[in-house]
Amino acid sequence: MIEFKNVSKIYFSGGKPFYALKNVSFKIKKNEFVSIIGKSGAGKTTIVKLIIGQEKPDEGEILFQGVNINNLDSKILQNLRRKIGVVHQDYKLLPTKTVKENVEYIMEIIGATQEEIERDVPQVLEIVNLENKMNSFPSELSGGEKQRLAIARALIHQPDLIIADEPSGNLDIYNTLEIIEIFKRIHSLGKTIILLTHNKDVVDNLKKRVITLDGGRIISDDLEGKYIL
Amino acid sequence: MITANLNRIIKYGIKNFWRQKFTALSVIFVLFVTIFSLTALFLFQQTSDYIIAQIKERVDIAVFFKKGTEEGKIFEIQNEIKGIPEVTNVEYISEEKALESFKEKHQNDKYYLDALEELGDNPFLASLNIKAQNPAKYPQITNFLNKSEFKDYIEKISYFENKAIIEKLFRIISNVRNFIIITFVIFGVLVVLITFNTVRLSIFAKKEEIKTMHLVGASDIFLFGPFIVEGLIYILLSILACDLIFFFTLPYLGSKTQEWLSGFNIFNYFRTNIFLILTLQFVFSILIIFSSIILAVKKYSKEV
Repeated sequence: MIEFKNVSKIYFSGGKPFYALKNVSFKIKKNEFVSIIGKSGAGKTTIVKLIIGQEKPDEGEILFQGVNINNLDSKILQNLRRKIGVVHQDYKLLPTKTVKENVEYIMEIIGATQEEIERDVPQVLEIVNLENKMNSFPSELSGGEKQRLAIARALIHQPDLIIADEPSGNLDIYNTLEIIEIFKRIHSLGKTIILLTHNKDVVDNLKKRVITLDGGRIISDDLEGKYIL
Repeated sequence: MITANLNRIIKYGIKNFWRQKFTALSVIFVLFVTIFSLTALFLFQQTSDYIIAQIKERVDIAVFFKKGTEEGKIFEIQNEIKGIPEVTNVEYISEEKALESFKEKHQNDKYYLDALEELGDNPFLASLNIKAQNPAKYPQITNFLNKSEFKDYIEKISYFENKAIIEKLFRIISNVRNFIIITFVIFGVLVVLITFNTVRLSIFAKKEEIKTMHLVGASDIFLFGPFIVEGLIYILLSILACDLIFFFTLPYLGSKTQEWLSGFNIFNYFRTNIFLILTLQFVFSILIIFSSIILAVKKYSKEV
């Protein structure tokens, strides 16, 4: 499904280069549930940006469903992005659209019919407990609600791959477990999930594959890994 | 699918417009000022063109013939002059007709009539009044007459008497034209820049939203479409406001211009040329609004 081949990403800070990722290689198969863990600045978010084509690697290549996404034409890249549901760390919600419209928008851009939208959107909003906030704007939501909306938006079109960057960052333990349950359920439907987190409890309870990053390098990749940092 | 997407884009365009009424109002106001100013300049240019055409129409030259020149010879000369391509009309005024016109013009002016009585004889000369398509051609026509075989029959040509005034008039006309063109260009560039930047600023406020739309995989139609719909609403409302103001104020101004400019009614001009004016307003607005939208949205969507 996803393959990183010797990927490096260099950023510049104060004119000096530093490696956000250095020579990173891993492969995630279809229907896998992988947690990528690491401290702040370990390179987790860079991995998300590289997968959705928001950034390009300076070295190496990234394959998504066998296609090198480094030099994709913008139309094909947009098409690829529609196959991935991303829960961004900073939510990236559409501020001028209501909760319902934020979720509907994704269905609309993939070309869903009005019937499908009217059937699926309320269901997903119910799953993330936002059915009573359908007509609220993101600015009227709490941090946890925004996060749940971001999750609803990432799930609504049942993408092939779901990437969640710190999805439990603003949630209490009860909501965190609930969200992880949702991810597990989606995974059981045959979807691939990449969870980027530094939440030890989440990782240890999942008992799934864990890739550990430190300073932009992979320091471990265990099939039933634990939080080791 | 296309209809569904179109409906969705129109829905978002209208919603965005309504939800950001104040930003929309500022863009509409600036666009309104731009369209209004340019339309006013356009109408001013049409009015000045009419005035210039009227002035040109009134400028002519008269060729006066020596006493005793046979009428047949004058008709021969008249036909010859009519053959000059730039000449539009050549009118023969006999000595008698010139005298009659003078008497009619000064029928209440005893001083002139007494002076005429004292002379006893008809002092007026037969003449040909010549009108050309372009008054700038008068020197050429005059030169032609002076060098022709008829020069011995000619007493005088009025052009030489009025040369200084005619040339001054042409200079004024040319200066007025240049002034209008320069004002149009400078003012046009200024208002275009202001409108362009206002639209870009209104889109700058949605910079993060555009980036997010691009990140979640929105196609070009979903990225640009709602902004284009919003832009169309700006254009429609601005043009509507602008033309309504013209429609209600120009009748008053029209009666004034009719009085001052011997028959030119600016309101009638506006009414009869409304489709041309609307086309110009739409083409101009669409060019400026759509180009600023496309450039801004492209810029922000490319940032991700």
